[in-house]
Amino acid sequence: MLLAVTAVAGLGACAEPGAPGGTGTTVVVGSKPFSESYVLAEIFAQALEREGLNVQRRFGLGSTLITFAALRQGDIDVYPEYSGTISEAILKRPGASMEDIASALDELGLRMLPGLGFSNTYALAMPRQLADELAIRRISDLTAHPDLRTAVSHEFLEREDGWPGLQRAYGLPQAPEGIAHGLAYRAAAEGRIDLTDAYSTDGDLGAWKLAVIEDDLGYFPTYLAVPLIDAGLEPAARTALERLADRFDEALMRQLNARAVVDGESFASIARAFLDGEDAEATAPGSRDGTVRRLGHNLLVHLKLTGIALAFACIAGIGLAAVLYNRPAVARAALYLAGLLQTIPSIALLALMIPLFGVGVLPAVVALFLYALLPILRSSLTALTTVDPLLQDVGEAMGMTPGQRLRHVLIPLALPHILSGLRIAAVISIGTATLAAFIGAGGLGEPIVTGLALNDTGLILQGAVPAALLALLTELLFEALERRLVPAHMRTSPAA
Amino acid sequence: MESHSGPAARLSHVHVRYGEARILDDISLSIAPGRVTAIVGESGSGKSTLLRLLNGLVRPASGDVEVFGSSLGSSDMIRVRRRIGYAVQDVGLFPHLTVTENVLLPVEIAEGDIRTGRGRAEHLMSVMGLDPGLGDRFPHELSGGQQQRIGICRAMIRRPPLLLLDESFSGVDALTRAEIHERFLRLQADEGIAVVLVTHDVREAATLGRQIVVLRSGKIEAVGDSATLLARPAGDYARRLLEPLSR
Repeated sequence: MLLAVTAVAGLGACAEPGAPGGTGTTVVVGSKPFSESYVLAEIFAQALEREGLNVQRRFGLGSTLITFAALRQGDIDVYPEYSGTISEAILKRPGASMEDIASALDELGLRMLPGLGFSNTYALAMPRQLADELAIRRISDLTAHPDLRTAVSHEFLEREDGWPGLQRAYGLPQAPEGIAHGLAYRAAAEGRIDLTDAYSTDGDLGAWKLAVIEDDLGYFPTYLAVPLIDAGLEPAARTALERLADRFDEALMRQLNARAVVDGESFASIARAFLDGEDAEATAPGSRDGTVRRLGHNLLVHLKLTGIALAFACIAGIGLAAVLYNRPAVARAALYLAGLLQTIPSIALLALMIPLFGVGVLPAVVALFLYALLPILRSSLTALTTVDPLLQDVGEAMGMTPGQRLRHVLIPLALPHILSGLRIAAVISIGTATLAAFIGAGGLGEPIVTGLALNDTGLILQGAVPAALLALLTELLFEALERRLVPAHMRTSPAA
Repeated sequence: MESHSGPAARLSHVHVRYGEARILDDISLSIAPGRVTAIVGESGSGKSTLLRLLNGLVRPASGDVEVFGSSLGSSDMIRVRRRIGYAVQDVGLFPHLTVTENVLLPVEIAEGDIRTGRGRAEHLMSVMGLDPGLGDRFPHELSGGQQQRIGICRAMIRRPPLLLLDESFSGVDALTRAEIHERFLRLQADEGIAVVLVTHDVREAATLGRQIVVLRSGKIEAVGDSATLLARPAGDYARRLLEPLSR
């Protein structure tokens, strides 16, 4: 069974896109999980491809921290970043000059290319009607309204140049919750929250009837959009990216974002039109064929992630149990350790893997492996320790070799428990693997992450529905497997 | 199968201890080939331990256990055990195997091919008074007495020269037991199997055993030919233990 899963996983590896097709090195372009980052990254990618370079896309990486770590580790070569984010959030040098930033980046082996020509600063936004009713025009006006239901993006909530600094500068009384940025505008438009953070170039502020509140103290630094590159990036790629300098302004960027978020145009088509210099008509967001192919690809990657992780967790979990089951003290310690791993939130565990393994498939597989370990180890240990000692005696007295005792006594008697552990591990892995998209591992989480960035429910469902079906299918598969391998009176699941 | 003359098994000055407790104390005993030796004694007298010495499930603290003419200490235990049948009170049938598969398991273990054992399995089951239709059932579908008889079939499937039975007939109901005892003795005599039978039931010991060993607190209290021993029990303990038979 595992062999089958691994074999399917292997297919996934072959089908991975962005594999070098031409000659020379491949430039890996990354992006963060919000629409402007996707649009700019896609423009970078197509600009590089037009120079005849091989490009691999690693879009929708979980956060500034994850994306920057990926760049430092050499897992990506370039991504769109903002000068303010570099100084405030990455280098932690508020108010540093561009020269200071450049030299600090130089020490890290990184470089900021000339600015793209626009600044996307933070802003606060609220429903226009509510702002009018309360006569709120400037951020200072907010101090009189402590009851405003405030929800800001998680990154903004934590960043020094985000809410904490803003609150101090203005003395704001609101206590904000965290919310995924892609959901915030809809929530505000539907009247479920009153105040959120916004990006000044967001394309859909108008569509959601939101008003931007003026930063009257000039608190937010400028966030000049720049390509942030690995200093070792090959000159041809660098030149191609430098050619994008000053090709944008805020109005143009807002318009490009609106095409993605409001009109549902694909990033590829927006980027193509921009580079062609046309005011191209919005095209349909991806043909049916493309959707099916993408779905199939995501599904294969998902199976690969979970299949490999499960295969290794099986070997390690069952193997460890076989070694430990007659050493209760060590076995207990191993269970505690595996249980501890289980308590780390999955997204945090994924992020913790980055310093060790970079971004992409490897850290995701390692994290999923660690998650799958506990159910498998626990069920295998339970299974082996509860095998009737009388039966072990009988096997020994019959003249069984150690291998025969494993095959005829231990494995068949432990199998029902081990299978139920495997089943739980498999279903957990399929669910958790959707989060792997945040660290660039792809899979069914990819449309979910992109869908969140674009506030596109259809796209979210493209990931969520297959993931749910896959989990269901896995349940059925294990049920069938149990029916085949375990006699009825020894089955653990009520349904089987 | 290699043969040897002399006893099927021999214990010489065997001591068994669990920590401080002396389970068996200086046991010397010879198990005659082709005959049934019954070991009787109260619970805790060390009967089962004595039996488990013979297939190496228990190791002596000192002394020597010899089976088929060679010391267990220097034998290939897997080969020796494949020539010893072992059936216990709680049977230990494998729940994932059918009755037939359980009976044939020793054949599969030793020969890797169960075809040779099928006819023998059916024969043994009929000797034990079991409907051949039970073969396809799982052990939990059988009564305790039926399970015990299946356990005996399994122990005998490979015609072992030595068969160890630990309270193996205890769950068989009284009416069938006499019949089963008789059939078992006939089969045992036909095949010339040496049997060591542990039982707390002195009637059973008297019915089946040619040689009787009385064990008390880990020591041999009396040993002898059953007729002689029953006629003139040596010592108070043996007399009291064997008393029910004289009534």
